[in-house]
Amino acid sequence: MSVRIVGAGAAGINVVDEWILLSDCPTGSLACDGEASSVDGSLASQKLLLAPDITGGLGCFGSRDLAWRMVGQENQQLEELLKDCSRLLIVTGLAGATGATVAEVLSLKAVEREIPTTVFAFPPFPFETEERQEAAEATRDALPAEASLFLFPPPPLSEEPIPDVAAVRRGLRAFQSALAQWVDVWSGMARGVVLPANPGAEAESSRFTVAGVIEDCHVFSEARARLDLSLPGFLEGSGFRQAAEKADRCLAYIEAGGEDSGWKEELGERLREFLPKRTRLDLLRRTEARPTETRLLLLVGRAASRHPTPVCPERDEERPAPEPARIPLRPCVFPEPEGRLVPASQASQDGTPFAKTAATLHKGQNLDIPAFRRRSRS
Amino acid sequence: MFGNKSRSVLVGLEAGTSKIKVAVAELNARGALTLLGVAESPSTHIRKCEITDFEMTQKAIHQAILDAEEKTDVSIGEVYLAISGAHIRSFQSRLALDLGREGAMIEQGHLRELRELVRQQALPQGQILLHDLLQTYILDDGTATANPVGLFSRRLMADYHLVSGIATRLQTTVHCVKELSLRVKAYALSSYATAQALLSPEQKSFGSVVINCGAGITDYIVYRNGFVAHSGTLGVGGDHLTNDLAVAVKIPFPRAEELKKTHGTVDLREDVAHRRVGLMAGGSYEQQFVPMSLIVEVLQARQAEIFEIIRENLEDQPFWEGFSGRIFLTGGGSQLDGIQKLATKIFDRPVEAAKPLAFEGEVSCEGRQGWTTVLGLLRYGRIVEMQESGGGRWDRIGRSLSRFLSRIRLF
Repeated sequence: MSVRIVGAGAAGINVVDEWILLSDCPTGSLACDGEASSVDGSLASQKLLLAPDITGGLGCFGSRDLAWRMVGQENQQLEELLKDCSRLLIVTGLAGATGATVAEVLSLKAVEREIPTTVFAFPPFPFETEERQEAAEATRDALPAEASLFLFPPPPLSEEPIPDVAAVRRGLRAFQSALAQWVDVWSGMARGVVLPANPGAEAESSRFTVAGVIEDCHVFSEARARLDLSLPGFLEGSGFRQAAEKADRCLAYIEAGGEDSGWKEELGERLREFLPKRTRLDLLRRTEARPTETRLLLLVGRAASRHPTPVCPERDEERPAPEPARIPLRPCVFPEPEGRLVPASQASQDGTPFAKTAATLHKGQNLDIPAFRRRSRS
Repeated sequence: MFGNKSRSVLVGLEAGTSKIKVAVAELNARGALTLLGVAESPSTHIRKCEITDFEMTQKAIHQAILDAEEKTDVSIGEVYLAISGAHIRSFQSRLALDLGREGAMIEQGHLRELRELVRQQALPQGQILLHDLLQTYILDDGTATANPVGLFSRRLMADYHLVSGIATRLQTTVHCVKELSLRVKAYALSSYATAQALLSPEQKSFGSVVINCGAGITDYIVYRNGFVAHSGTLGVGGDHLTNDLAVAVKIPFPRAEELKKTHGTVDLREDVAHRRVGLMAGGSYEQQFVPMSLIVEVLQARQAEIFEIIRENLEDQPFWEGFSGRIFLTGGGSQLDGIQKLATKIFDRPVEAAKPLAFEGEVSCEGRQGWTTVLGLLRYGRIVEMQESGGGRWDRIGRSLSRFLSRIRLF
């Protein structure tokens, strides 16, 4: 099973780089952009510089037309990428031209080949031009319905007349790290393994990530047997002991082949209760408002769902459901949870001698992570 | 120059991950080095040989320099600086000089031209060349020689071992020293300096690998046929072993460091396999018992990985298959119990603990495994000084004589 994680555009590459630094097993990464500096500087194992003969490696300066020309020229290369690929994740910012175009083209190609595709994207900042907002909207609508789309709103900006640049940078970095955690969890899930975000450390895991794991854990049904063991471990390692117990029971229930209705209730209960009492997540509020089935479809897309009959998110109960193939899947927006996000990459290194240095990477492995741990996993 | 006392004192400075070390020696008129003394201060703000806090590092360097001045009664004005870090890259380069269809006699100018060419070689953006170490000259018929001057050939090729690093990181280190009103006379790659302290000319010629197990990084260098055949730096060192132990046993880093130093081993012998070692209560820590098998498992996994990465890198080199030299371990990390046995097993070659070559004078360098880099800097400094001064009176006379004899041979 070959999983491919593509960082499209400079913003996407940044997130993929964060993920490489964070993850224990960062394989199958690809950096793709028109700007030579971001591609060359990436930590991804594969790199694709788009049409250097057209732009000279300087990028397309936000021109969508030029981005399409660049992507068109690299058509063959992009198709090569999808060979032997069994699951595809594209990380991109929708505001940029190159990233958005690559995401659109690549996801269309992947869907044609029936490769389960997920897109992690973040919309433009509110201060960006209307033209860019519209272009991002258009890209979002143009993504194939069969692909799952997760939209992450970027961190809110300070309203002060002279914003603190360092604070903005920190906010962006935290956002990238949180998103990288998602990528890590997705990558682990796609490989059938869920591992604690902060192994061995007493660090707080991002609730963002825990929510992601809970949401996705049942999706990859083929990996269920392994998830049985690893999901509770992940939750416990992340400091959510009660959730771990709950997940354990729930998975046992699924394993036993319980009825559909019971499974849904159990899942709903688990989602409501897995976080500490004072924590408030919009995600949970929405869970209450929508049927679980619908939400799951929104989250993971039809192809990945284990449900035999998909349901339209906006379905009127009295009308018959439209054909599954024609259902347009709307993106699900995850608001940033309240409280401080602690990226695992930072939390796990605090107090160690490597907190202030770049990670030592060797053949895609982060050598700063204890060797005995990496070896036992492999 | 050797008569000038102010310039005959050489000072080596290494800003390492765990300690700042300074060594002071005197270079006498015969070209021999007398070790005057050594000094050190703890370094807390250098990670993987890169400075993370400028001011604190500067204070630590200042402290070590003051200590050295006090011990040796020498006023230190200039130093030889060791350079290291995970950003250091090394690679081979071959250059060729066309001497015309009819061929020509090779002169010193040709060698200088080749050297200029290698220094102009394009490097990745932001990198600068640290060392251009000549390996050998090759003539058009394939003859390899260290001194082709006077030989006829249509083409002259030269193999160089080049070492480069990120300019900004190097600037930080050099600037940190310069701010203390110290002149950086020259800098040397840490592993290159270490080899100067350990290897005799015979060992360099026969072939040797020196692995310097530092606290922040592990660097290595390979000598073959008298020249540097390969070098490398891995951003993993003794701190990683300590950190692994801290994670596995769930104890703070300083306590793990203490545990590593007192009971650390990578050799699970029968007599220790079922033992448990106690960590005494102290401060806010409670008494704790740790099985030796766990300590060995954790340390062995990390140390074996370091050696395996180095072995893989060496196996990729064309010379490695026929290489029959010895492997020497040095640096603070080489004092870990059982490390030689582990290295022998992984490299499948004889491995031994390196001993620094002796200096003249009363200060002995015996047992100074962790000082090899600064001691090597002194030897490197000696070479630089001798090259600058033209090698001393007798060398100059010898060169004039050989030039005279070569003219007689020609006519």
